[in-house]
This record gives sequence, C-alpha cells and structure tokens, in this order.
Amino acid sequence: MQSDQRPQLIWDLPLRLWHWALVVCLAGSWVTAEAGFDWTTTHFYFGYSALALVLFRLAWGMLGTFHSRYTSFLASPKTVIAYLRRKNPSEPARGHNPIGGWSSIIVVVLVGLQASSGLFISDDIFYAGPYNSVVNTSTADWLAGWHHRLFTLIQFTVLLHILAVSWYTWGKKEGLIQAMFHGRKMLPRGSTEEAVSEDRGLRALLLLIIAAALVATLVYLAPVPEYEFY
Amino acid sequence: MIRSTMIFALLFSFASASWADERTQKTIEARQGLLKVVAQYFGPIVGMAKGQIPFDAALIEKNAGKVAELAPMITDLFAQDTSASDYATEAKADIWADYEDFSAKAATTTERANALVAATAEGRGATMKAFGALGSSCKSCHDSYREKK
Repeated sequence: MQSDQRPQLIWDLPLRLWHWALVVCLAGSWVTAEAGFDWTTTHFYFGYSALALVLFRLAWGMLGTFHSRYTSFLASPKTVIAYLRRKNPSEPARGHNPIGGWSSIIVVVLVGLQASSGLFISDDIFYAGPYNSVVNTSTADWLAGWHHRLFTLIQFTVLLHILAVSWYTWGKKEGLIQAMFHGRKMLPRGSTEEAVSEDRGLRALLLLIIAAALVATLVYLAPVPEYEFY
Repeated sequence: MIRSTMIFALLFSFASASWADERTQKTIEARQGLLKVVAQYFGPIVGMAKGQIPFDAALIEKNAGKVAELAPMITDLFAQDTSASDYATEAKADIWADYEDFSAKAATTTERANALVAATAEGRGATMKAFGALGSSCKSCHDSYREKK
C-alpha cells in the first residue's frame, strides 16, 4: 500500500448491513428449504425478508449515497467491454467496477424473482405461498420448477461472487472483502470527490420500514383459499 | 392365406398396443384423480391448522376417515408398472424398483390417517400433532417417488 493513499468511505452503513442481511436470508432460506417440513414457515419468513431487502435495494439505488446509486455503478456496455479488454492493471475501482455493478443488479433481480415465485407455489401437502390459490396448479408447478432452477443459478452467482472478491482481496490486494465490513477503501489522497461523507442511516431505516410494510401488506392481503369438502 | 394371416397379425399387434396404451393412460388418470380427491379431503384440515377456517373436530374426523379409506387405493392403482409409458406422469420409476418401500409408505399413510381419526377425540393439540404426522407421511412418499418440478 502506498503512502499517498488513505482509507475513504465508499460503502454507506445501510448498504453494508443490507449486504450481510441478504447473506443471512439466502443462507437461511437454503438451510430451511433442505431441513424439511418443520422449517417451511421459517423458510417463508426468510423469503419475505429477502423480498423486502430487494425492494429496499431498488430504492437505495436512487436514494442512497454515491456508490450505492445506479448512476454510479451501472456502466455503459462500452465501458464494460473496455474494462474487460484492458491489458494493464488499472487503478482499483472506487465503488463497483463495471462488471461488479452489473453483477450486483443481477443478484438483486434474481433474488427478487426467486422470492416472488415462492409466493405462488406449494408443496402440495401442507404449505403454500400466500398467493398459491390465485394461480392454477399448472402455473404453480411451472413456477415451482423455476423456484428450484433459479436457486441453483443464485448459488452459482454467489460462488462466482465469492471467487471474484477473493481474487480482488488476496490476489490483487484491493481489500474488497474488508471494505464490505468497514466500508472503506484505500484511495489516492486527492480523490475526495467520490468519497462518501454520510451513511444516511435514518433515510435507510425509513425505506426499510416502508419496504417491510409493503411485503407484510402483500402477505396479509392474500386471499384465503377456498377449501372444498368443507 | 399367408397374406391375410400377416395382415391379421399386424392389425392385432396395433390393436393390442393401443389397448395397452389406453389402459396405461386410464391407470395414470385414475391415480391422479385419486390423489386429487385425497387432497380435497386433506385441504380443509390444512386450513384449520393455519387458522384460516375454524377448528372443527367432527369435520376432521370425517375427512381423515375418508383419507384412511382412500389411502389403501394408492397401492391398488400403482401396482401396474407404467414407467415405460410416454404419458405425462410425475410418478418416478423408483416406485417399481422398490415397490415394497412404496407400499410400506402408503400403509403408513393409512395408519396415520386412522390415528388422526382417533386423535380428534383428544382435543386440538393432539389432533394437529396427528395431522402433522399424516402430512409428513405424504411428504416422505412425494420426496422419494414424485418427480421434482
């Protein structure tokens, strides 16, 4: 590390907490899906939480601090290609690099689709997502198929993400993993314009409450299925 | 003479193939129908377990009794190995690879449906516990022998 660099805040606190909360939701929903019957209700709650986190992140892409915003991390295709083709190791990216930015939005969309598909499916015995009764059985089965395939895709994406950040952390020594804990990266002394100066914690909390309330409303407003032979 | 024998043989083989086909299709449809009926009797108890409809011990007793009558038909209808057919089915060939285990699981379902009938006399807690046991016996069979979606 060079002496003309100093740590500067890149990832605001809400973004970091969001990241680790998503890790908990993905791990939790995986374990509870494998653990069987008695854990299905818990699985549902992990799914609802994941959906709220997705809504929060979508809003934070507009209302968060600089590096959390779409405008800072969604690069044009040209920039992405140029990034892929570069021969000399370039200066480390401040926030997401052009690939990382798109990867992050892909993860958000995948998790959103995964959690949403779960709302419509059932295990055919006991448990059914809150909106299972509004779709017909073949649609529910089709979505259940996607719920399983999408999770495999998410596992693959997460694996790729872990490999990539490991390479940037231990291969390129850019401290990416550490940055997701303390939020800071080493940047040249002069480049203060991209450093984040606040966490916007209160705004984040409000957004999270709104996101959670939306999901809760969605779940509570779900129609009660009509039972036959009753 | 030879020609007419050949024609007859040919027609007969077509006909018997299509009879066999029709029988397979009917069997598969009957199974699907049976399990749908089981699900209809099972459904209201699920609704009660979730608190979506009021607990009604008499109805559970009746419906669980129906499930106990229906469950033994599972082994009747799955006795024919249809794993080679082209009809859309979620029944795995594993059923006939280990029909003994499949039958044992179906028998467990019957037992637990009867246990649920008995449990309705012992109050809500015991009833729901017995219902959970019945559900997990359904699930153990679905996990092993039903094609994953």
